[in-house]
Amino acid sequence: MFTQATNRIALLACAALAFAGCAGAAPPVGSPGGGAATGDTIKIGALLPLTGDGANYGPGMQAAIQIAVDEVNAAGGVLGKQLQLVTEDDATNPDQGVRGAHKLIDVNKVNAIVGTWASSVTLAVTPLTIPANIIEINVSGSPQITELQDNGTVFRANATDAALAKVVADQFYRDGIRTVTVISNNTAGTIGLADSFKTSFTAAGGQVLETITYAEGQPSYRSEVNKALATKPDLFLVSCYTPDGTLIFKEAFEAGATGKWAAPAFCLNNQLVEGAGTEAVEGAIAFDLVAVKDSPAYQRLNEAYKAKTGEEAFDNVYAVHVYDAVHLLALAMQKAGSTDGQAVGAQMIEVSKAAGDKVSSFSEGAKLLRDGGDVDYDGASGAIDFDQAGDMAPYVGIFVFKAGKPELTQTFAGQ
Amino acid sequence: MQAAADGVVVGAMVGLAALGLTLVWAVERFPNIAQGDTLTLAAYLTFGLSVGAQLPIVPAAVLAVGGTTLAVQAAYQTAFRPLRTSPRVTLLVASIGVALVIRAIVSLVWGTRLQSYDLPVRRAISLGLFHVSLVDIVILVTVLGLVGAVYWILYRSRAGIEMRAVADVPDLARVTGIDTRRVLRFTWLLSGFVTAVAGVLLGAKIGLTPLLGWNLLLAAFAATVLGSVGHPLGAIAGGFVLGLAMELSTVFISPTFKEAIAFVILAAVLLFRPRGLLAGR
Repeated sequence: MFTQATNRIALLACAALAFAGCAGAAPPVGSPGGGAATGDTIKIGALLPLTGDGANYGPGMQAAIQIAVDEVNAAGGVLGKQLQLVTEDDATNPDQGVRGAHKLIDVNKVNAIVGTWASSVTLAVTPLTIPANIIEINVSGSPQITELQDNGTVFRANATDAALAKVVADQFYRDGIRTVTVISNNTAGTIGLADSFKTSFTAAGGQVLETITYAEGQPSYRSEVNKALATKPDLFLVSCYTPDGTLIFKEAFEAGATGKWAAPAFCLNNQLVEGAGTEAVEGAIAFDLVAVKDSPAYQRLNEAYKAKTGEEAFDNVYAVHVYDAVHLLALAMQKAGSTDGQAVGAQMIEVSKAAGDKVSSFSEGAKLLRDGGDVDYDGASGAIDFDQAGDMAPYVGIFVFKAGKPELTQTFAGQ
Repeated sequence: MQAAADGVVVGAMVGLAALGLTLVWAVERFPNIAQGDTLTLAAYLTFGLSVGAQLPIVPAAVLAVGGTTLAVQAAYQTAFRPLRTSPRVTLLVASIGVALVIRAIVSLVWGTRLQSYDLPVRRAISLGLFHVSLVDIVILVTVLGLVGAVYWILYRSRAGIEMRAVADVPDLARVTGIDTRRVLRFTWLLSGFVTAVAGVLLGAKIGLTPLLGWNLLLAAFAATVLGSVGHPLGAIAGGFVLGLAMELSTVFISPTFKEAIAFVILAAVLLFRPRGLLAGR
């Protein structure tokens, strides 16, 4: 049952497999655009993880961005123009992200891209947005993003993994944990978190016994789990995304694992609990940024968000962050008086820093700006002060799972 | 020992996915890229019937297997049969199209979030040297049963003998009076059935995302080629070799490289036995 022809077809099949994931070569980026907005609208591109590992968050982020855009438009728009939203799916995948960014930049001629979630996607997309001179606001964690030569156009509406890991590592050490074994997904974001944790935890006086890295998309992680269990640490840290994390928690439970487990909340979430079972995550610790529930911006967002999605905005912290990102972007454009990437970038720092009058909505801020004042937008995710590298220090929360529900045990204000 | 047990389970799943692939490949002479998404469809149908329509899991799984088999047959009738006389590459590309259509439908109906069947998660059963979970045992028993059944069909039943005849020399088969169209229909039925069963099991083991089957496709290809294209036992054997090699390698080196190990073995086998392990009649 084998012929020479099948051999050739086999080769073709392998080629097809490689390319089916990234068919349709993208054209090169056009000449640097940005500049003054043309037409009657200012276009904002949303590049979101609607599918793939970030699919738990993408749709909520889309809703939150839409809510923010609607608010800005209801308040008269930016520079007298309405914002227009164009959404693309990045599939939590760098290839797909680059294609989406090409389309947003070359075809839709957007003035900014908001929402890239996975660090791998952000790092793939910024080489397009930087020469195009448009603002890129991501919610990724990788420390590499800080170091981009971006002319001040790339902003991170999230903690760097280094900042997040430091808060968590210090707290674990205070709780008496001395040895940790790390199990990490091999992507830019998750590896970044694992490495940052090791650095901070070692500096605090603890010891990382072993770091086990795995490739995602596998049918089983039992060998990785067994290897980790053999090291017998005080705590297992799983730096995962939800699909692979689900399997790891499930298989660890099946293998009879006990002891303390921790994972970032963007992996260890309600979806994971549904897949792995309540018992498998009992007592597990989740950590991530948290929204500031008593802020006026959060309350306004949450009301609209609940009406739109039926869920609490607090359960999707990235939705909260991109909501603030759109507000900051709109205020910065208003203040810059243009949509030129570098000019707006400089004002992103200005409208977020503590020197100005505190505002919590676009309508308040735009009025102050028109009167020649300075504003400091304090959003649903905290005070938000961008530094020169485009980073900020949001609130971090630590949750413990009890009977399948996350209970917020500690909150750390951004420093 | 534990690594070996895990390898056998992974191998069984890869092998089952490869089995459906190799059947169509042998007779139609093109690799059906839609295979991966067929796995996904079967898993989601089970999910929809058990969690959505509140059926118990076993009847839901049986209905899902039936539904997926029919869907594969429908795909064959609409997408592949009209291209019967086209170059094989056309069929290959058509199968990519079918794959994308299935994936889009799955995403549209069930969304892209991670889902799972409503199965209790239990501590694994300890068998002295190693432990296995109930799902693993079900997977192994089903794979062995299915391989036995496919083997019987191919080598003992009239339909199977005709299938092998068409696979070997299509023209001669036609001249001797074999109804090629019926054979093809039967091949797609059998392949669809095997794939659907594999998909249902895969969903139970891993959980459901629209990329569930796609992620396994590369390994299934490797297993198919490793065990000789068109050789059903070879596909299963290829799956076991890959699974064992991947899991056992983690005892000695970092698990980061376990996928790479699978392909090093594939490359080595192709160097020394270019037609696969079980080829050579």
